[in-house]
Amino acid sequence: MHVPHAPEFSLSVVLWLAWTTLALVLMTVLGLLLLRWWRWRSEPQKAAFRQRWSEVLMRCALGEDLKGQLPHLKSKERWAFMKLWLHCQLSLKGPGRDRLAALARLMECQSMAMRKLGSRHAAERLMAILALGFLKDEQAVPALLEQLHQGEKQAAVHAARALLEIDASAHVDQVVQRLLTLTDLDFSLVSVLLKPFRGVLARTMMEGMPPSAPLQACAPGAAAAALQWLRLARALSLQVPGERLGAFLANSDDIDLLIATTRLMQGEQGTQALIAHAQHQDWRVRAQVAQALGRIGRLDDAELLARLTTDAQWWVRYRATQALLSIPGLSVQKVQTRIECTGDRYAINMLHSVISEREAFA
Amino acid sequence: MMAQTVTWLMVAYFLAIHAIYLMLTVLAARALLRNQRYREMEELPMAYSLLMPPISVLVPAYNEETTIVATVESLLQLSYGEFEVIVVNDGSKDATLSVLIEQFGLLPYPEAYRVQIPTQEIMGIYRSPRHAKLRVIDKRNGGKADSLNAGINASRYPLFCGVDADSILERDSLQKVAKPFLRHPDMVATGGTIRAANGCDVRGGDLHRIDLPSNPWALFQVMEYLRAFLFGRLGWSSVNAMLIISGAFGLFRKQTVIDVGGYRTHTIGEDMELVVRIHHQMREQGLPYRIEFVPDPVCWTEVPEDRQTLRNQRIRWQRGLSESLNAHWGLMFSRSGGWPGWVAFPYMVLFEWLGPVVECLGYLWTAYAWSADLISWAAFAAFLLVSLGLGILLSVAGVLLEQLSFQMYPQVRQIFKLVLVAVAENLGYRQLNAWWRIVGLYRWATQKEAGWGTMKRKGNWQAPQ
Repeated sequence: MHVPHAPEFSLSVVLWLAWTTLALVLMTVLGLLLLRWWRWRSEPQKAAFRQRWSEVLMRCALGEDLKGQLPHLKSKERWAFMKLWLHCQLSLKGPGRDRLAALARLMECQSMAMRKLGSRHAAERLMAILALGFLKDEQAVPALLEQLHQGEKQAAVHAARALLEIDASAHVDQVVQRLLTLTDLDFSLVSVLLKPFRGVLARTMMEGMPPSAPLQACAPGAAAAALQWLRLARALSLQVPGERLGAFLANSDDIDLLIATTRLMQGEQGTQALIAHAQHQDWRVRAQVAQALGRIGRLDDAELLARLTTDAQWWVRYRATQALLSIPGLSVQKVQTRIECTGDRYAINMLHSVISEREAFA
Repeated sequence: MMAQTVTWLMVAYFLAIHAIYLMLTVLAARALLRNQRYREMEELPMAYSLLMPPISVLVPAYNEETTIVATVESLLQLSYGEFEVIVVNDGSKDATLSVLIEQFGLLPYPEAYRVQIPTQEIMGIYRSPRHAKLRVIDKRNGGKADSLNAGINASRYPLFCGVDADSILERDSLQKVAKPFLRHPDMVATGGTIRAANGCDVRGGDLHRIDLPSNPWALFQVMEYLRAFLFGRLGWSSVNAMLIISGAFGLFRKQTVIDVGGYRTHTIGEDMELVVRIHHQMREQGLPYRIEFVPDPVCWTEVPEDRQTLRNQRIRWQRGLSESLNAHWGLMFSRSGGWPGWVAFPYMVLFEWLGPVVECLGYLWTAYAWSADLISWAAFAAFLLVSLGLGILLSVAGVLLEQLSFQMYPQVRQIFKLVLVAVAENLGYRQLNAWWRIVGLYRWATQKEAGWGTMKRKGNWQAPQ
């Protein structure tokens, strides 16, 4: 039986869709081929450019006089040059960096970097910020300060590095102030970028160390500011005096603050305040206390650590056992005797576990 | 008239599914371009920070005696600050454990094992005196999910990365997938791009040269992986609605996974089920969270090269999808559902779960309607052009995205081969795949048993002597 077909307009719509699809497929394939052709043309040029300029940059960094020998840099090659130059800057230390900076100034890279500060691509902006720092261009300071204070977090950290590169002593106060106000910072990035300036940052950081008076009594937000300071200090691997940290421990009950403080404890000073938190209700604090006591390594704390090996939390037992075994003058046999005296099966198991771990990697 | 209406419904279905794919392609293209600029930045020589979060790499292994040594050696050479590798031998019936003991000089180790998620009994824990980062857990057989849970229990670090025992990781893969955790404190999971290693030169678990396979089954899968990872997941990730992180490579915040109860055992799609459960529970509890996809190719895996193995894999995947969706209907259209509940989950149900049924019915119906003269020849041809043509368009768009971003297959010969595959896969392979997925649905509905499945391996996975 023949059923009449639907009106032709519906079919024409589908046919139109089909032809459009086919056209789009062909256009995409054409795009693929054009892309490939463009790469085929540009890649040898890029490779030649890299080879030519890598050699120049290396010779420059080594101190060779390149006057009159510099290849011509086309305007469309400037950004590629800057990336290559930045690569060299980050790979080198010492006077080679200054020579490279002089070369880049000669090639007028400042104007390119300043233009890229306004790029809509964040990665380009970040590279431009770093480049301006390595160029040691005083004229770029206002723009970098703007990035430090108004840019997003990553830009601010990069701007901090750039400003310190230009004149560390002049900008360190502003850098520290800004970093202390940026919440949810990527401290790993801070650590990588700012470690070369640890010395100068440490002085300013220590001068601006938050008060250790009871934080509840301080201005609102004092605990958060102190926490940020402690985390920044850790990212920069600062040596903070134990008595100052001890005062924090004595005057705070904020768990994050206690953990951040405990992580910085190194010497014997402030140990009493640390010990006061050995029975803290939060196991993370107890685990950090055990670890810190291990770093400090006082024989007097052995009994407390032995008690912590019987803790209900696995991590506390683990850290306390590790700490006990790392105390100078306390032999494995003595630790074993102490822990066996506790009669705690979990503590004894943990001891065997940690001893095996130490023996395996001795 | 009825025939025309049904045909139109079929056309509308195909248009809808491809419109969503095109939308995802646009989202992915934007994300890829952004990512490419960041890659230039990340290539700058900067020292690693010790503040990168340490990672436990978990490798569940069941009957992997031929590949496990190469995999572990490759993992031990990953470039990352602090990480450990935990191999979980899931009661293998072959010599997986003994080759590990022999090769790495493992010694029994009286570890104080901490049970946070219940698992099958642990028979022993081993450490290698030569490789401080390596530990091996020997346990009774309980499946992949159970092994991962045992690995979580044994892990020391706050992030863990589940890796398949037959995967090859790029050296900097951990750095790449860990970066989002540094940028966003509320990040709970990240997934990386998986590519097919067939055709590549694999020596001792390392990838020496990238090329396309000559085996047609593997070639089709290369195209599928390109599509699925380049615009499928990347598109969903840009709206925080990615419902799958491949079990072959995914990084998770351990505490979040423990809080939601760990991997669910007795399920096949444990990787997807976990991610859907995280979405479901985090949204229910109103907790801020992010799940992100890292588009860089970080993990290479060998895909099946024969019809039977591929069929079994697809049946398993469809069962896994069914189980995951079925366990979390509460997420769909829930008040707190957001993009995952209101868009991604319904999409999964309509186009991934029921898709194969509608697709097969579409072909059958149109063929029948044309042969019975219910629709015109032109309507039949137009339907095929729309359904297949849009599929080809998406596949070719996948190739274009790949060329715009990572250029893993840069030679003209490879591009032509990929374009040909993009066309050919729509003419038979896609339909066959849809049929296998229907079988998977049937098996899920009838609750037939299923296990890990076996993989016939062709690559050279032997560790270098």
